[in-house]
Amino acid sequence: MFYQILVNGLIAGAIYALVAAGFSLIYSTVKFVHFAHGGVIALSAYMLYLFYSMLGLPFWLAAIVAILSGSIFGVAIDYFIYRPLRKRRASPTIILVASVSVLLLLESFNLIFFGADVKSINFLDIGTGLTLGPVIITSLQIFIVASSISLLILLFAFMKYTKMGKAMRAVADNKSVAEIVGISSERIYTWSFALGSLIAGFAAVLIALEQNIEPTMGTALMIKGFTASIIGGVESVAGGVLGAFLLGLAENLGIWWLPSSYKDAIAFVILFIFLLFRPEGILGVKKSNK
Amino acid sequence: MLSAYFIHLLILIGIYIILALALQLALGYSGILNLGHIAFYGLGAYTSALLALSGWPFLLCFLAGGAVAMGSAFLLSLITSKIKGDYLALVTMGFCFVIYSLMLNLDELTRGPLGLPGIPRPTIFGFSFSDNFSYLILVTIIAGLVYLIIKRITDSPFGKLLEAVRDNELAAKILGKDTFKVKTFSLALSAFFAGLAGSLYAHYITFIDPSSFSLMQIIPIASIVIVGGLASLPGTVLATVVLTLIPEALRFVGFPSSILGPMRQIIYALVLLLILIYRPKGFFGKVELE
Amino acid sequence: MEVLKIENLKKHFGGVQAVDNCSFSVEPGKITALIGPNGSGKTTVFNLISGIIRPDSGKIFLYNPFLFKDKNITHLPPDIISNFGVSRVFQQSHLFANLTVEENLLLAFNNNDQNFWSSVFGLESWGQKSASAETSTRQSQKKIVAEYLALFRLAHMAEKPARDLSFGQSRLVEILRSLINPHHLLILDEPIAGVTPELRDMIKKLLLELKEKGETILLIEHDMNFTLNVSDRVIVMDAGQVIAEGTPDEIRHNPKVLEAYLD
Repeated sequence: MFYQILVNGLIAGAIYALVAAGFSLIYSTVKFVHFAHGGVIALSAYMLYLFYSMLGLPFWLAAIVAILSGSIFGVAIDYFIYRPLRKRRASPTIILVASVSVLLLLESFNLIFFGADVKSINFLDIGTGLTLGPVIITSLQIFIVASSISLLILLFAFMKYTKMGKAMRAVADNKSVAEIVGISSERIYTWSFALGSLIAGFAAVLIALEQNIEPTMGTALMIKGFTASIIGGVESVAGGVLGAFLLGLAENLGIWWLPSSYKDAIAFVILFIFLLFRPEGILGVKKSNK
Repeated sequence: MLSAYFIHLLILIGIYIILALALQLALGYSGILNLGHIAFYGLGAYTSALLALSGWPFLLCFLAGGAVAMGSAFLLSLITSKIKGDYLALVTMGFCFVIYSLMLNLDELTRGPLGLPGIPRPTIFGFSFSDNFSYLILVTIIAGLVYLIIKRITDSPFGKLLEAVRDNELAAKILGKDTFKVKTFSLALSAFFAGLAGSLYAHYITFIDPSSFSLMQIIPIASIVIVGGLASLPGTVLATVVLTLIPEALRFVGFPSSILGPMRQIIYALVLLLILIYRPKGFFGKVELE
Repeated sequence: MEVLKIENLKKHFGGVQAVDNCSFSVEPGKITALIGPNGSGKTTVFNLISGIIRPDSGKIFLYNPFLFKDKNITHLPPDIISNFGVSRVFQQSHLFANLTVEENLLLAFNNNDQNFWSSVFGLESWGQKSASAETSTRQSQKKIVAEYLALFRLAHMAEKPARDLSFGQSRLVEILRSLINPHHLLILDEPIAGVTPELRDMIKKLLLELKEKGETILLIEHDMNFTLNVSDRVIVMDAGQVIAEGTPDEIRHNPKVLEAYLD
């Protein structure tokens, strides 16, 4: 039983990690909470449903369209909403309020165009599980964990070795210094939204395969992704990933004792504890209080 | 004679005015970015409904609704005393989510997603407010009283102190003000009035379930407060009337009812976004959101 | 007896030792100036005195003849320290931007506005003045404010929000607010930086008048001429330490001071 919980935690963590990685990547450069990130995921999942289940495109093609549309939505939100707010020097808190509005906007669009009922993508047969020693895991779940981890490795390589990745880290570290050496922060913001939302689109495809698609899934996922980022340290992508796996484990351990509908509340209790006692997260560095 | 539909709208407007004025006190006058306002509304509704169903008289249920909301605000203020800015906004959001989860999961008390039906209409000193017209009078009187009380608070030296804390908390401290006490008091009062609004809602609709108190319900109320203008009481009232009536126009355009709900949300979200970007002072406010 | 006594204060930010074993005291009825090159830790000392930040080690004592002798205020919060008699003007504007000039000043008189019931509903609570007495004090407070504003040619701004004030006007209002705030020690962080020459003379005159009335003032100022002219005692800081102390004349001829500024 314990090993099964461990594996379930790992699977949940793999999905949360993608949500948190995209979110943290965006936060690290723009320095405000892009809550609508969850809405981008939900919308991308519906794009997969639209192109695969409704329009009948081949799955792989529909998946690529969904992932790319995630990226486009992210950049569009930045361009049409956040950029005008940045121009008039709105505080991060105001941008957060705007971001929550965008999330509600996206959820309402999903409701209008796709209806309130739960959708599922029946591409892979998830019924049969493989028995590996004491645990049961489906091939889809193995695929999810494997692809999530590979994507995260690719992301780290990108951030470490490419010119764009280095520029992103420079802006994340110190915007004004980065600008002095000739990096345009606005351009980097656009790229962070493009890349972060691309990961969101990828997460959407995996979630659509493993779970169901519903209009309010964005809020629920965002709460998980945000909690994971806070646990690990909101300014670091690695921290977000670590936090995601810890959160996945904590939730699956928690519903050992509690009714499973408390799963979301567990995330919030952990979020509270971290915000109160260690807001900089596990990997975060405490800033000197000047 | 007023049509039944119009009376219904006026009652809802009255309840929203109380809820929006309450948020105005915390957000507009004290600068507390409380995105969990709906939790206080919900706590008031559930407290009042549960007590009424167990046979308490309306006036006691009504005041208890306010008191429970106030007590929870006091607790929330204590645990968040060290948190500032967008983290505070996020924690209050989290608080709303925790309260929502409790409504959904404390089956034995709240009947979970099934909700609480059969909440009695109020009876005060033998007079029953069972028809909507008399209920409208009740709501109008209470909304009027709340308006006068909040106006009296904000005009007093205490109200000026709230605004001082909003404008510059450090300067208020340097003048010897106990800003934590002041903000706690403001949040508790705000929650009290929100709780009263919740009670009026529960006894009007006579049925409540958690869906009326989800996180996203904050967007219409926040739109009202920000469109009306921070720290403007007449602006709040006017904005409540206008923003409640605008989505009703959709009903006459002939949209199916399944689309009306999300359309209304889209309108509120769009209004909020537009006002944040183009007119952050709202229409009657003197104070700019920072 | 000193009004303020600082003993071996230390504070670091990251790797920077902003205040390093700093000790000095402020004598009553005098103007004491704290000078030193940029980054020498003067404002940090002010932040430590007013309780905005806490020292790593060291002690701060306050003497207030009406309240106590030698009170250790080292770890107290800013509002308590203010109520113990320290009134401060910041280097940057800290007015309440959306309140009127008059309201800004009225807030400084006392903390009765914190009492919700008496403030909002005029209800009498135990041990407090009656509501009517409260109203009459409010009237007299408004009169005092009006007199101050007239004295500094700001009467026409009384009803305007503080955000409409010019830079110099807001400096003045801030100094007035710190004067109204009940205090035993005034600490002013660069009160004349960036103001016009006329306003500078006005503030200089005000400071000297305040001294005549027996006020104790500690100020930070970069303008050497001004500082050496108004102050009775000068404390020179460099790299978080006190490197010299004395009368303006002694400081003028102290080679260590010159060296610190030339570095």
